[in-house]
This record gives sequence, C-alpha cells and structure tokens, in this order.
Amino acid sequence: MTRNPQTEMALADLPPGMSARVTSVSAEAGRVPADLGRRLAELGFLPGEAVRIVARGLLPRAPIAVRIGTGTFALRLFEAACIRVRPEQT
Amino acid sequence: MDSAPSALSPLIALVGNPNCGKTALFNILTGSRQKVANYAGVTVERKEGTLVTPKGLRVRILDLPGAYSLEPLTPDERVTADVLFGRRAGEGQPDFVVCVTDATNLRQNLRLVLSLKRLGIPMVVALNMTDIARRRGIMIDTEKLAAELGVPVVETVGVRSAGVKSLVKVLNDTVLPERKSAPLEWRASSAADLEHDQSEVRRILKLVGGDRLEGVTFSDRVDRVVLHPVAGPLLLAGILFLVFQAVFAWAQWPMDFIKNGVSVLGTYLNTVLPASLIKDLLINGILAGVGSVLVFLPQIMILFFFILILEDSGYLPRAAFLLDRVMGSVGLSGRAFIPLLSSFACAIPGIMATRTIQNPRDRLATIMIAPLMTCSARLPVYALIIGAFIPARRVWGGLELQGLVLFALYVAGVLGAMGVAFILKRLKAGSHLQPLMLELPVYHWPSLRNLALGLWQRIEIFISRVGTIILALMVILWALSSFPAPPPGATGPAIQYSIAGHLGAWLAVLFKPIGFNWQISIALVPGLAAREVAVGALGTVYALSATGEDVAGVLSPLIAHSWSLPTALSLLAWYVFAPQCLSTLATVKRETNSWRYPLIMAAYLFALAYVGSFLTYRIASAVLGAGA
Amino acid sequence: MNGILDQLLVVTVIVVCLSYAVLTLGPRSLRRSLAQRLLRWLARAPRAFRRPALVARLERVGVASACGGCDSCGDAKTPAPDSREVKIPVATIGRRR
Repeated sequence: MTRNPQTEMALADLPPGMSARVTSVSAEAGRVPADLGRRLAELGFLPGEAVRIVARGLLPRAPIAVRIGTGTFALRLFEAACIRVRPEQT
Repeated sequence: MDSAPSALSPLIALVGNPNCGKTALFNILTGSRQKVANYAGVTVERKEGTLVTPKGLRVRILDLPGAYSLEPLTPDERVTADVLFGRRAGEGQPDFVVCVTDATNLRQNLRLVLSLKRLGIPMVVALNMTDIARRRGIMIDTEKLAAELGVPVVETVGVRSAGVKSLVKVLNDTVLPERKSAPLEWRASSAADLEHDQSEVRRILKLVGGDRLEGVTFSDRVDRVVLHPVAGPLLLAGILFLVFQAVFAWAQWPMDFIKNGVSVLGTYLNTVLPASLIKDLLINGILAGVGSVLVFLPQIMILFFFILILEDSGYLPRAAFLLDRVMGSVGLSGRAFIPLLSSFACAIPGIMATRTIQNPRDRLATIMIAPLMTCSARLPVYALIIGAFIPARRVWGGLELQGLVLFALYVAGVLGAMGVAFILKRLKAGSHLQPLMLELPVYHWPSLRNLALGLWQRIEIFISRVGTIILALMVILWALSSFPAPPPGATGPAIQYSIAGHLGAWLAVLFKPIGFNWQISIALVPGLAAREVAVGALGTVYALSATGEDVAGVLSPLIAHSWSLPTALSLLAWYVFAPQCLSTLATVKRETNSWRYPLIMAAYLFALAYVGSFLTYRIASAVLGAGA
Repeated sequence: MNGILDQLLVVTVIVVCLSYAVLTLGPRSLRRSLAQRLLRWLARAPRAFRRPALVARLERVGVASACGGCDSCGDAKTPAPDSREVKIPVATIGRRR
C-alpha cells in the first residue's frame, strides 16, 4: 500500500457519499478530551477501515453521520477532525 | 422446592457491545422483563436473574451494560469492567462469559471478543440477531468462526424464546457447578493492540464470511429522508406534534368510559351504604381521589405507545443527531439527549441513564436539568387543567387547541432546561469540547409483542401505583381533612376546620401571590410524593368541601367553576418547573453521592416555579382583566 | 351501621395506609428499622399471618428504591459510580485486591 499525502484529508472534509479509508486517528492535545483518540479507535475508526459520510446537518457545526465498516456513528465535527482519511476511486 | 440462588451458584455474565441484544437474551434466559430498546445504553446497571439448565444446575445470569472495550470510559462501562475483573465487593469474577455479538456488525463486535478471550474466563460467543443477518444475506460459517476464535460459537435470536436453545445447550454442557477463580493476567490494550486486533478480525471475517460491506441498505434509504438536513427536522417536528395531538384526540372515549364507571360506582355506593364514616372515606376519600387519577390512564398509554415505537424503531438516536447542534450550543454533551428523552417517561431512569456520559461535569449538568423534562406523572395534572379550561376546538386548520397547549407546556419545560444548561455552561470554569460519538443503530420494525408487553407493563405500573401509594395517600389526606370534626354550629364545609384545612390556609398565604387557593395549596403537599397524587388530592379536597351531593370523580367541571383562568395557567406553569417528586431527589443523591446537588436542584426548581407562576398569574390577570 | 364498628374500621384503614406510606416513602433508615420490627412481629405471629409474599416484600424494604414509578431504576444496594472520575489507571486494571 502506498501512501499519497496529497489526497489525504480530515474526515470532516470528505464529501458526503464518497467512500474513503481511514489512514490515521490522532487526538491533538488542547480542548479535545484526552481519551478521544482511544475511544474513536474502540468504535472502529482504525487504519484501513472503510468510511463514508452518510449525512450532514444544514447548520454549520452540525454533527455528521459516518458509516464505519458496518456501523454508523454520529460524530461532532471536532471528533471527525481527528480522523484522517484517503478517498477511494470507485 | 428449589433453593434460593446462593453466592455459590455459578455466575454467568452477558457481555457485548452496546445495543447487540444482551438484555433481550437475558429476558428470555431468565424470564425477566428488563427494558429493551433499539439504542445504545438502555442498560446502565448490573441486573441479575437465574436460569436452571436442563440438567438441573441453577446458575446466576448477569446482564451488564454494553461496552466498546474493557477499559471503561463511562460510568456504565465501568459497571461492566468491575464485574468482569471481580472488583465488586463480595462477588468474585464471573465463572463464565457469554459474549453477545451482533451478527450484522461482526466487524466491530469481534474486537471485544478478542479482548475478552485474553481475560481468560471460559466463554461462549453468541451470534445474536442471526435472523436479521440471514435476511440481509450475511452468511456466517459458525463452525469455522469457532475454530478461528478457539471458543464455542452459537447462533441466537434474542427476540424469540426458541432462539436461545443452542446457547442453553452450551451452558448446560460447559458450565461447571463449582465456583473457582482463575488467576487473572490482564494488560490494558494499546492503540497498536487495537490495530492488531482489527487486522485479525478482518482475517477471520474473510474466512467465515460476513466480510462483505453492503452498499445501500434499507436503513440507508430511510436515513436519506430522516437525516436529511431539511426534511429530517421537519419530520421530527411532525412526529412530536402528532404525539401531543393524539394524547387528546384519541383518549376521549376511553376516558369517558372510566369516568362514567367511577360515577356509576359512586352513585351505587351512595345509595346502598348507610350514612357512616366509612361511607365518607370510601366515596369522598378513595373514590374521589383514586378515580380522578385513574381517568388519565388512556392518555398515559397513548404517550407510551409512541415512546415505545420510537424507542424500538431506532429513531431516537437519529433525533439526537438532528438536535445535537442545539444541544451543543447550550453546552450539553451529545450523549445527554437520550437520558433527557428518557426523562419524559420518568426522571429517575433518565438520571440513571446519564451514566453513559463520560465527562462528570457534563453528566452533572444533564442530571440537573433532567427534571425539567415533563415526566409522564405530570400528564394527569396537565390534562386535568387543560381539559377544564382550554376549549376543545380546532384552530389553524384542524389542530386541536388542547393538544397544542400540551405541546407548548412540554416545549416550555425543554426551553427552561436549555436556559438552565446555558447558565451552567457560563458558570463552568474553562470550557471543553463535549463528545457525541453516538451509534445510529439499524432500523427495526417495532415488534408488536414488545409493544404490547411494554404497554401492558405501563398499565400494571400505573394501576399498582394507583392501588397502593396513591390510595394510601388519599386515605391519609381524607383523615387529615376530616378530623378534627367541625365545632357544633359551624357553617362552612367541614374540611375548613380540619388539620388539612388549617395547613391549607397557612400555605395559601405563601401561594396567594401566585394565585393558588387553599385547596390547591393542600394538594401540592402530597404531590411531592408523586406528581399525579396532586390530581387525586384535588379530587378528595373538592369532594370534601363540596356542600351538595356531588358525585365523586367529576373533578374537572368543579375546578372549571371555582378557579379563574389565571390561576389555572399559573398552576400549569408551577408544574412545568416545580421540584420533582422526592424519589427523583433521592436518585440524584444516590447518583452524585452527595446531598449538595439534590438540595441545589430542589432550591433552583422551586425558585424557578415560583417566579414562573408569579409572572404567569400577573400577566394573565392583567391581560384578561384588560380584556374583560 | 354500628358506630363503634364504623370507627374501628376507619381507624384500621388509616393505620394500614399510614404504615404503608411510611414504608414506601419514608427515609431509608426508618423504613429498614420499621420493616425489621414488623418481621420480628411476624415471626411470632400465628402462621396464618405469615404470608410468604408479605415477608419477601418486607425483606426488600430499604433495599429496593423508593420510587414506584418505573421498573427501570437500579437497586439502591448498588453503589452509584463515583461521579468524580471515571477513568481507572491502566496499571491497576485487573489487579486483585
């Protein structure tokens, strides 16, 4: 698997409906709760997993609904910002 | 006769990801009736039941809150971890673990299986919801899966009693009668472990099937509408509207039926019983009080009918998703939505459900505002006053005015809660980001059996409450309102000379500025035990202060005559905000381990209610006075 | 109706209701001590009064929670999770006391 840094993006920026794969999960320090990265990993946001945005709210800063593997989770934007993904050409 | 389950009976724990059907399995295995719904975090407490295996061994079964991993982040997950690691006082580790997995979501569920395996407790994997998996074309080779995992794997269907046969067989064959605890070697898993586990999961899934990622599922098609940025919120508003309209529109004839039944019984008792104290107790105390509460059973059932459907279908977490932006703006965790929604049934399970909230501060904020959600026990109070004062007519093209007012009262509670949350956010030193991370489950058709069972349970609870605690309080209130007897030659109704009459007169001084008369003031006191008791208390108090031969159980025309509209509105405002029943405060005390928060809660709710009622009464008086 | 019988009946009903209300709603310590006393009385009472359901109900007093509103509440025996901190130090997970 070759990594191409150009096409990598934050999950929050992925267009709805586009399939992608998780490349990394990292919670930066600061206002983000300390266990966020671990919890995201426990929910299944792990490198190599297929991910897709199912729905987005109308208002800015509304949460997004994300399909990860076979499950769906609602994430606030700061949570989605911790997940890096690479879109897949289909 | 069977001996009681002793501490020596083998202990079997049901463990698994949230919302994979542990409690459904538990209910079938043990014959319990714990609450089941289609969202994560219904079970927040350890529940125990017993099962007798076919060979006659009595085992204890534990239902545990769902967990995503064995390293707990939330209080409910900690309950699970504490049990698994044998950290609970007086209780060793479980002797056997049933790891429940959702067959449609093995990709996520199998990681927990791998962690549990490292724990070293004998276990079996239950592939639950295999019926749904099969319908969706997910075929899993259980034998291969068992070989790969190195533990037995059985297929189960948690919603059917035949669906657990294979699990019972495995328990029968493998659980040993004597308890022994193996030494535990446990190392917390790191991020690298998780990644390693996931590649292992992928390898296994490839071998056994079930690796296929479906394209567009039924749930996806529904979500296109439900989660749509514009259509979604409109649909949510429509559903809520329908619920409150239905509470009034559908309940009329069953309510009339109960009302007439109580009337007929009252008239009958009145004619057959000779004049005596016991007759007075039966008619004015019990029938007037209990009858006026019983009338509201149909409305409570309609409310729960909708709540159960919403819970079962999987819509609730979607509603949380749609409203999260609003919740976030007043500083509430996204996880707060479901506890708050549970509070519409009763604040106590709502406050318990805050255990799914990770951050203690967010959890506390949610606990503090939970009582502002209108619990179902307040419905009789609202319905009584609305029925008596708001005309049953249609406005704006067919909307029931009564339902509309009811909706407004619920909204007032929610807005109050939002306001309080906003103030709490301001008071907090330093803000942080509150997580959401809420699982949106696959939609299920609400099962008729579950719905009927749930409604039946509500009827049982309501009737048993009416028959026990409400009845007892009514008798006590009747006694307080009848003794001491009026002096000879007294002119007013007897109740004015009684203990309750004096108490009411004294309380009325406090409540006069917000428009309450002494009858209402008396009724507020037993209302602290349970909200709906206030309705019964009004029934008893008015029956005793009535001079003529009024028939018991027809409370609403009585109050419609004797209260002014501002008083009625003021009482509604009081019930939106006033401190909840004592049990709620006791629950807050238990969940926060201190008296501080229940006291703060009671004080702020009382202040809010008084100010709210005062403003309502004054404004309504001014507006109506000017109009007259 | 006989006046004395009438009053006796009413007083009995009131006493039963009052004790029921205290047993369900009173403070937990009071509920428990009352239940213990009633159990002791029952043990000495004639067999006909010793209904197993009543005994079981009394034994649960002070253990079950005060609310009668819903079945979803946890039992009061279980300590509430500590509200201060939820995390468990990684090093102590799984350590036996």
